[in-house]
Amino acid sequence: MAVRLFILLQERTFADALAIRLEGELDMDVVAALHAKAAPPRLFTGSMVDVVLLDGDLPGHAAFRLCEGISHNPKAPHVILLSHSADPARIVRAIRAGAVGWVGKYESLDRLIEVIHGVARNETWLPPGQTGQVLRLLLGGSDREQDGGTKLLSALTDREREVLVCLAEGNRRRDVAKHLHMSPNTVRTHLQNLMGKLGVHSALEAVALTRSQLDDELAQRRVMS
Amino acid sequence: MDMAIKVLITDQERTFAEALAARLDAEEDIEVVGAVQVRTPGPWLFAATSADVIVVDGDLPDGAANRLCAEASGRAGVSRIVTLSSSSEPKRIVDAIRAGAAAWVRKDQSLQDLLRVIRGVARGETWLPPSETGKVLQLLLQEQDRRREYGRLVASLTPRERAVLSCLAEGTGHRDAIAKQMHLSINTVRTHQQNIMAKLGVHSALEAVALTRDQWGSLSPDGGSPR
Repeated sequence: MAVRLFILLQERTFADALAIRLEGELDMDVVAALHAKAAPPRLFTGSMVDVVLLDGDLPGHAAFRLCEGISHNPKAPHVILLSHSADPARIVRAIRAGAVGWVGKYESLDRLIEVIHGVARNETWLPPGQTGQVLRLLLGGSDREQDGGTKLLSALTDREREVLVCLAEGNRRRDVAKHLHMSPNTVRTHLQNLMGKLGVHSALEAVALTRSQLDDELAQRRVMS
Repeated sequence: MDMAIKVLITDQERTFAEALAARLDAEEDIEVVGAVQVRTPGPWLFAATSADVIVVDGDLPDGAANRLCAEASGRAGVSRIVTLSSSSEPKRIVDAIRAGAAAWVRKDQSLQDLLRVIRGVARGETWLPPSETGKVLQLLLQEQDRRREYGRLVASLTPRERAVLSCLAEGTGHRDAIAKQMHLSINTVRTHQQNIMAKLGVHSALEAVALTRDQWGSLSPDGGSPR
């Protein structure tokens, strides 16, 4: 049976061209091809759709919101996001919103067609080049919005980072001082500064917040040494 | 043309390793540097070869495949690992990823799939069987949720309670030892402990520590503390 498609993209030419091209595939059927600069508050695809191709670059978080709205329904169609971006943090958000496919707008049409067929069979397709980073984000738990993909740790000085890593290893402040050859007062100052930068109120929170990145840092050190 | 991708094949079954080697070697852009029958691959594999990609039997006993991945990810410029397995259980795939595997391919997938994956990982990509990717991601999302939940719980502790918890987690041991170390009375430590347990939703100090360890366990650099 043909895969029934619903297309919503920002650019009209893109939506139309894609619809015509996919309609040309023997086993695909384009039910609707819409274009919208601003996202509608909700998208009703009806029950006659198997796969939704949704613009992942809609302003704000509209794509994720729409995706959530569609995927909410248990008999919902499978959603593939099309985007210029391949930011792993955005991909993770899309997955959380229920998307089962992410295809770069710069990728080949063959790739898109392969992904459409795949998700219609209940598969999940991510860009292989970003899959590793997506998995690492999930393993480390740092796709929180406020991170925005930027490194929290980059705000810290080398010394502050050393103090944090030392604490993360389970040392008490007193031992941190001994380890790093500082006075306990210096450790306290570093700690206060780094907590301020991270916006947390305790050393434990600082460690919890930066855990995944500390892991990276520790792993990197291991590689370099 | 680019340089050929150097591939090393290891499998429990010799016929399989050799057949796969012969077939892969027929590809223009792939050079098989070895096909070895092993039950316990070790770090010697890295020393012995300069393979870009190592195909490892994911069904080796005692998690040998994952140990090899962990070994590889700790080294610079070392081969990327494709795990080849007859299973596609999401939990096992998650473990392999955590160990640092670059790809997981089921033995019943087509040779074309395997070739694509080998070429992909040689470029730095990561491949999972698309039929299992959704389940793998769901498992990881659940784990992430649990970690965040724990972070929230910890944030609800007072500084004093956190100090007691970290004493417990460090293995300072009995209440009296903690009391002495923190200059508190034993009753105060007990009260803190009770509050910690209530806030973390656990029923014993041991559970509280276990929860803390689970979440923090992987923090120290070499799996142990450098003290």
